[in-house]
Amino acid sequence: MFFHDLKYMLISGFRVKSFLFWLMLFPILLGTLFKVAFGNVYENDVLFRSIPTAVVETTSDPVFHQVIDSIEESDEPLLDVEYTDEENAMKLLKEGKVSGIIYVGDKLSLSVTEQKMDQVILKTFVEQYGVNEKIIKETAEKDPSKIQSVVDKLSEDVSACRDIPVTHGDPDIYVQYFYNLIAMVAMYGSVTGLHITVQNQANLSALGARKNCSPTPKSVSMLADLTGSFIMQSACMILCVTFTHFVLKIDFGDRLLLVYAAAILGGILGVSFGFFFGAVNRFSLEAKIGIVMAVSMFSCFLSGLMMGQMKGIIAEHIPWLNKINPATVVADSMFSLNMYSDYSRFISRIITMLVITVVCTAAGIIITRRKKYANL
Amino acid sequence: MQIFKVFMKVLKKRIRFAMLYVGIFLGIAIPMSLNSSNPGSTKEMFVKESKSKIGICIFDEDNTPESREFTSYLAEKYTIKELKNDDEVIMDSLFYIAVDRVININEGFADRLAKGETNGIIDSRHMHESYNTMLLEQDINSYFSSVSAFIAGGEDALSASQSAKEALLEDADVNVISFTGDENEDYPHGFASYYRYMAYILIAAVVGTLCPVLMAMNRKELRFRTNCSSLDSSSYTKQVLLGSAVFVIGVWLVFVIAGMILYGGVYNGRAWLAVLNSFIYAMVAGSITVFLSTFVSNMDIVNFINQVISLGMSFMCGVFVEQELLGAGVIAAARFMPAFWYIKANMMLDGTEAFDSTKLAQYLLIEASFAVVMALLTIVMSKARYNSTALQKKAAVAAVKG
Amino acid sequence: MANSVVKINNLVKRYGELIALDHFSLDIKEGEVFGLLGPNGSGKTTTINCLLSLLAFDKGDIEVFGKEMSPTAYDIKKEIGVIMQNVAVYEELTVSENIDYFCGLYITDKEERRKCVEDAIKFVGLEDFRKFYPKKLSGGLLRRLNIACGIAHKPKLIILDEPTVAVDPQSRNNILEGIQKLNKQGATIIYTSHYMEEVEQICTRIAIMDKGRKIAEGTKDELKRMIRNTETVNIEILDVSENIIKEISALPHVYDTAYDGEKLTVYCSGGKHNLIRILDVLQKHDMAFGRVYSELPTLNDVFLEITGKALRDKED
Repeated sequence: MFFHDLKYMLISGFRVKSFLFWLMLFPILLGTLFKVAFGNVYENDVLFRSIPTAVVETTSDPVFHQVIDSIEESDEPLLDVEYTDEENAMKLLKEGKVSGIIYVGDKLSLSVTEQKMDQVILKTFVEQYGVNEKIIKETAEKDPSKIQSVVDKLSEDVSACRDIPVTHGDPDIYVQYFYNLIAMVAMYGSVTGLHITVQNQANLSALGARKNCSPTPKSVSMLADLTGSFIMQSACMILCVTFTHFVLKIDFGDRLLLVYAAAILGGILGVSFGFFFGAVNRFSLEAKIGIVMAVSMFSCFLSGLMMGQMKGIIAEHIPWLNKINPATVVADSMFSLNMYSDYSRFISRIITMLVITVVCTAAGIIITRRKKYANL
Repeated sequence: MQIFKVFMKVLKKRIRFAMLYVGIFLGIAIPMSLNSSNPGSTKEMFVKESKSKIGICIFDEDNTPESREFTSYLAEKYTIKELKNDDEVIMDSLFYIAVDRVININEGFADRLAKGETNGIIDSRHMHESYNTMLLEQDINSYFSSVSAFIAGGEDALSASQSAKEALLEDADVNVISFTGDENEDYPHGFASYYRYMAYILIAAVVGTLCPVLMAMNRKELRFRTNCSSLDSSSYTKQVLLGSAVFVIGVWLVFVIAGMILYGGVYNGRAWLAVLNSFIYAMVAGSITVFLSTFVSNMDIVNFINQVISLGMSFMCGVFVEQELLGAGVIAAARFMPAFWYIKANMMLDGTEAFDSTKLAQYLLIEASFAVVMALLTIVMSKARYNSTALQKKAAVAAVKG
Repeated sequence: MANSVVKINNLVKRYGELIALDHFSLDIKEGEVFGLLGPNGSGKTTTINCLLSLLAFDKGDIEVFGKEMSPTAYDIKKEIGVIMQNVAVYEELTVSENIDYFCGLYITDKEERRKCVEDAIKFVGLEDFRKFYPKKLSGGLLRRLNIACGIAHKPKLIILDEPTVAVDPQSRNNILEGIQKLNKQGATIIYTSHYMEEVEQICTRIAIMDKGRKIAEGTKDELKRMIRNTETVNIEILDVSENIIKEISALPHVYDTAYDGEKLTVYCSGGKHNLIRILDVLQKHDMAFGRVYSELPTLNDVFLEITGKALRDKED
């Protein structure tokens, strides 16, 4: 009886063209949109580039020139300098072609239009210059013999930070959006789970009534339907991950098979969540679908789908929420595969997913096991 | 006006569901904008405007006056955060840029400093190669450079640290010239982000709640009955549009009033323009929904289409990721979407762009034209798909078989 | 004496203040085509749902095939076939797949099932529509599919709840004939409806319900004998005087008359020659008349007399 039910669940399931089509198509559409929208934002924005600067010399300062020259010689020059006159400099500043204007006079001064990072760095540079000047002056006053060693020290390249590598993975923060996209597809499996409860309950559909009259026990019927849904949802998840990785070329790290496993388990979680939700209330099918999707969206929002830093904010203020929010757990499991070299965090996420799935499935079955209804 | 009345009745039946849906989106909108009451922008994540927003975590294992001096220097300029010395916590904090660098001052720091061995004198962990981390590195390097210079000038390590700190904390002469718009006090950046996210929230909420109502009215049996009446098809559509407009205004009002609570009272000045902007956008959202409903018949699909449109459009038009960060091709395509113009108008109001009333009017008009176009398209589509001939063709297929 | 297939004893079902079933009892014997007749809202469907253990009830007990009925009485359920009022099929499965699916919930042996499905398809006449999806079927064909799904496993007890609502006459006849055939093949049938013509046509025994109570039970003829009326004579006639009507009213076995200006209706109880006697009176007064026809009482008349209202609402 189980396999009979399962067979027909799969047949009818894969034929629900509209739904399946959209469940498979929509992550492809969104994923492509994400990729297009973000493009190479990470490289363009987060990563460092030389700051275009204009220099206007009201008095000549050879020392300054020397400093600039040595800056521009280095591998990753801090500044990209253009010497020019005041008028042209203002024009460049207004058009946004330079981030600031350094005036070389008795002291250095700086003109900027915004107060963003570039300007902050320029400010730091100007300050450092001033500090160095000050140190040399003070030393000259106190102990001129030491000037040379001071100057030597100042011209030395200091590399005070010993960098300890933190991760072997790719910290591109935009990949997070794709993890969340996969989590969203998993959560949308809840609609399939919803349909299962409706189809098996006499008080929710005529089909349910007919099935309840048969000698096939309800629990067998529901388990078969659930299994069928799990299989269908897994197919969607596999497609989603495959498309995202192989077509959109998003890097998920080097443990791709485990990413698939996490995604599939996420899909199963989504289905069981929908199953539980469908069992636990008596709204119409239409309302159930709308609500479960809105709840899924909210879960995805908390996981950072719309605002990337949401997950971080929750991690700071309500960390336990991240550990139980389904979308976060799914996305996080894939994230931890990428960022951490050991498996402990991944395993704990997987266990969480398993627990949620089992609890929802069991609760759903127990609630719908009720054999007789007060009204139909 | 019968159709309008029927519309209202059908709506009434679904009102509880609509309220729940709107409530959930309100629950998304509010934290979104609260968080960005530090000016909301994705860029903010990576590029902090003022140094004090850069976060460092310091583990001092040397505990000497020199190390404390170094720590206090950093504390003057940046935000020191306390973290658990746990790898996972540190990784998370670095990834989400709660801190930009994690510094370990090892034992023997003071000795090495005195000897002038500044290379690799502290351990540092960071994750992103961002401006912030670069700036920090630069600053730390200049600190140690200055300290060694003072030591070379004859001071001992501790007084050298103090002198260096003093010198470095002097502010440079910076002149800020403004070419672009100023932040307006009636419509501050932080609050503006609430209306920015409206571009996503409004359309998702409207499509999600209005579409089911429209779909119910478009059911074949009902349309057949309507078509049998002497009612003109475009009159039908117009009444439906009117009913939809009334509903959309209701939903929009909920968000505007919620916004007032965030604002701290009744709107002032420019904020009203933002409200107008959102009103026009709400109408656009409604018209898109009505248009959608003419060819969608399955509730499951509605939600998927809803997400593709609302999320997709939002990402491409600069709702979640600033317009200035998006590629040129994306911007070119985004111009054909209403959200793009909505965001441009919002940016002008909050001071990100210089305020120009003619341009603002232009943006609003372009936005409004989307609504008009959608409404017209709906009338056309409605006539084509729902006249009795078209419906008959569908039914005839079934009847023949019987 | 045939065995009882279904025994319902003093069934009580309340929905809050409303009493849907009020000490309702039934005893249905093997081989019967039992009709449950009553207006909308009388409790027919509620009875069926309680019988199938889908609905919880407050008092009473139900036995099927001599055993107590419960939701987990799977051995009993195996022998029951259900055809509900609402069509319950999968939109995404074809006709044959649907029948196979539902049959498979009862019969696990593949070969046996295949035969049953084939028989079912032939039985309802859907051979030409095997690969069709429910969406493409007209109302009548859809109902036939609904029936096939309910009887494919050759159950001993078949319950049909208003199976011919909104069905074209051809399909309706098809269904009614099919039910009689099934009965001949050995199944006991319970048939609920508010269409008295159907019930009259095929049911061997009938129970009439109203407001959750059984108000009459028996064969067709037994029921009709319960009421006064045995014949109603209708005469199309114009300008009949009061005197003539009085004279007709005084005839033996006539207990009521009615005249609306165009038609004279005479209600008779008993007697074999009522028509002739009435025509005699009219001929005596040289009255011209148009059509004349005599009607036997219907179940509607039975219901009307007992309850004072019609079985079906005006719109039917």
